[in-house]
Amino acid sequence: MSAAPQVTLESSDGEKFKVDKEVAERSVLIKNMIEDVGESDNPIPLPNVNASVLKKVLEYCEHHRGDPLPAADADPSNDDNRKRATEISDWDQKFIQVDQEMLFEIILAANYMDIKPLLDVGCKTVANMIKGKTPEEIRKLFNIVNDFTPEEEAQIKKENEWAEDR
Amino acid sequence: MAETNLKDTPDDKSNCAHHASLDLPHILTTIFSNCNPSTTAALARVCRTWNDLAIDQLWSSLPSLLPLLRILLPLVVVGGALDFDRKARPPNWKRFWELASKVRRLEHVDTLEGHTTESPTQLSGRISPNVIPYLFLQQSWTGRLFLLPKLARLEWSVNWGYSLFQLCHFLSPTLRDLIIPIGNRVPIDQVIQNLEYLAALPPTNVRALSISANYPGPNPGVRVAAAVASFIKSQPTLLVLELPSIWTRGEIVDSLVQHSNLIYLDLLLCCDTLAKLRSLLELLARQCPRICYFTYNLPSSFPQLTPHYAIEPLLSCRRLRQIQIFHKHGLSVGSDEIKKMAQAWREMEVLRLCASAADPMPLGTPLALLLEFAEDFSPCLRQLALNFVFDVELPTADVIWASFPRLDVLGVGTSKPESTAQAIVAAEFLTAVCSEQTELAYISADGWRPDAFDTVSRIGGPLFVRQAGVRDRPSSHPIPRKATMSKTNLGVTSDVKSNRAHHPLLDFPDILTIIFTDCSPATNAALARVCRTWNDVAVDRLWSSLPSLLPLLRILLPLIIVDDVLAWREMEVLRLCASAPATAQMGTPLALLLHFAEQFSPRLRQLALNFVFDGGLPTADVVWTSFPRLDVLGVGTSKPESTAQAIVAAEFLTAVCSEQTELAYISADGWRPDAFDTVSWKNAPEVNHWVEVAAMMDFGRRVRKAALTKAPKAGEADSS
Repeated sequence: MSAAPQVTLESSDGEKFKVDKEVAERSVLIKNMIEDVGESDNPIPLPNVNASVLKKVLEYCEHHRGDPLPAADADPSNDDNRKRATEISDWDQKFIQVDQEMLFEIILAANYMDIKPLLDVGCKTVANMIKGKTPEEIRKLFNIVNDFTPEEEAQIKKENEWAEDR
Repeated sequence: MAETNLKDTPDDKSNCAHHASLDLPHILTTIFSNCNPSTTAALARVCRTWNDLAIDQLWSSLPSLLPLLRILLPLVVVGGALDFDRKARPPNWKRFWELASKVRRLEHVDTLEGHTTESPTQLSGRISPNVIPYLFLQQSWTGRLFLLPKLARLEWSVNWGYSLFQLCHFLSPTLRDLIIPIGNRVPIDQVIQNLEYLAALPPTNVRALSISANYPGPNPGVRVAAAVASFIKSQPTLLVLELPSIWTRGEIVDSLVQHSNLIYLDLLLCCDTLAKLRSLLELLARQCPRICYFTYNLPSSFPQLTPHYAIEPLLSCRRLRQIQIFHKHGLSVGSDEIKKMAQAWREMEVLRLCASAADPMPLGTPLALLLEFAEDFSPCLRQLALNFVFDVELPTADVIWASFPRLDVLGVGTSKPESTAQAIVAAEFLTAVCSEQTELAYISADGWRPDAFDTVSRIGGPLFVRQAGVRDRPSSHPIPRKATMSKTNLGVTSDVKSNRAHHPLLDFPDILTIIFTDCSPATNAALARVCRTWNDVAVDRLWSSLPSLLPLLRILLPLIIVDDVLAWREMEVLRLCASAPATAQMGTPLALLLHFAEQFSPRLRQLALNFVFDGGLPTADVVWTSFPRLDVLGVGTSKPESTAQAIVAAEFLTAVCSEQTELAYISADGWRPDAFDTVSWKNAPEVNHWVEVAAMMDFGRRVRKAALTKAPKAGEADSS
């Protein structure tokens, strides 16, 4: 019982990361795995996350290691907790300034590893990227194929006109 | 995977796919929920997959009814109100109903003046009396029950008498939150008449009701209160009632006869005497014993309060978690009363007792008694506000024996320290009694002096001074909502993110259970993802009733398909032309019964076919399978040719069926009961073609005559 307990995580490409258990358990997936199998020296495989993404995700977990688990310590009515939930903090903002590919990989990993605050940060960042753009700009931004005919698209635009400027 | 290239021209787009995460509805929904309506409208035009999700989100919350009406037909101004332009084009009913079924939240504001023009972007407006009957006509033809079948929250602002009447078209069983702000230009008689009309409608399932009507002064207000009271009487499902600006002399409290579940109440009481106030509060405590959140406001003409009249009647409401009393004369609380309150209200979280007394000589509670609050109240207490007054002698920090473990806000009222020295003593005392996170709220201008606390906090603990967070309601301004109703609506994403905390109601498991019980499994599945508290309640609800075992199995491990799936896994009753006339030649060899037993799931309870004999039936000792719980086996009309054959068949059937199986056969010239007789008793009595095999076979199987005995028809069957 000397230092903080540690666990080893293994990325899809075989790289091993030794981190404090407290840090790894920011991921509900890993937390549950550790609870299920007990602590062991065997690396925990994360077949859906490659080393570069995992490194980034662990950086996030490390920085937020002390945070209260979302809503776990109750009281979402507390204004501060609430604020924390609706804004992206400066550190997070800097952290999430990555290229788009990495951003989506982080979102996927956060989704897979079940790290809700990270998923939220990622999704909010994407939402900020989208804000105020036209459909064509959004398609370009994310390489999305337009499967509407021009008439259909015009119809949708007309139908939702009320929402513009809101 | 995709590359990030913003420089791509649309032409070579096909070469690189978008990122896989943009195909996951769960992730897209999370992203979209962070977008405002105009962005969501753009997202709807990106591609078909996104369109579905974006349209769902966009139309779930409408700022006005007009966009929906314009889907059907363009609008024109007729007599100062908006009506359909029925000549413009054929009405687009299909799309109208599609979008109408998505609306969960609706706000609508009519206008003060009549219309002169219509523009497609205009959102507020009077809706002509012709519009909704036109919709209803089509609605009833197509068998739809409600205009907006999923509407859960309605905020219907009324500035025109007729609008209040139109509200009745939206009172559907799904509606949970109803907010009716009534403008003071609406003639009071119209308000009363329409409220009485609404009260006469069948009760809805509304949980939270808020009505505001800013008529100046008690006299017109009290007349409205009587009409509001009859509407409340007609809504027995209410849990939350907010009437902060309806002047009531007690009608509202009187009307709460069936509301023993009410947990949230906000009233403006204008009774005349202290005795009347006390009896009203006593009545309230009797009628609504489960009340958790109670706020009342008294007009400034009301005499000075004492705890005996203002607080004691409520001590029997043991579940109170929040009580707020607003009165300008302040309130003085003694040590005994603090003890009584603390004992009665073990779960008290927010206690605000006339904190911001505006009177020149307000009543106040000695500041030293703060220690008693700290000592007696449970650690649940998060906000405390009173008008404290100075005592000369405050205990110094080193002899303080109690402190608040987690008080978030302490309101200290309006009275001022007389000197800087006194302020410093007070500040040191407060620092010692409060905890680190406590924010101090005071009424500024001539109230507590922030500089005193500045001095202390720089030296000592991190005590923050906040300006008058716990301020009284200024009567000339619109009444500030501390906990707004808007948060009580469920499962609906709002694009306008607010920093305000959600309604405290939504932390209360009992209430959540009641609310969630009305929700479909799909909704509960969504509710389970809202937050941890909700998850517990929703998961309990969701898993209490399973449509299949498979979801539970999948919790353990994913399931895979191992073999061909049989088509009818859930088949219970299978009757295939069982009672064919004896002359018909079509039949299934009896030996195949074994395959039925083997292949069908244990759900199979009735099986009827016209079986025919084959020479070779497996004997009982080599029969390898049987029906575990077949109730009825119909065996049709063909006959064994000899008693020997009948005995073989009977033995076979006995082995394949289970004990409870009844045997149904077409009698007269069908199966010979004597065959079964032979098996059981050697010489059974034969009753009119009927043989009770229960009595006959030693393991209690019964033979039942087919329902269609007399005239067996080809095609349909036997035992009923």
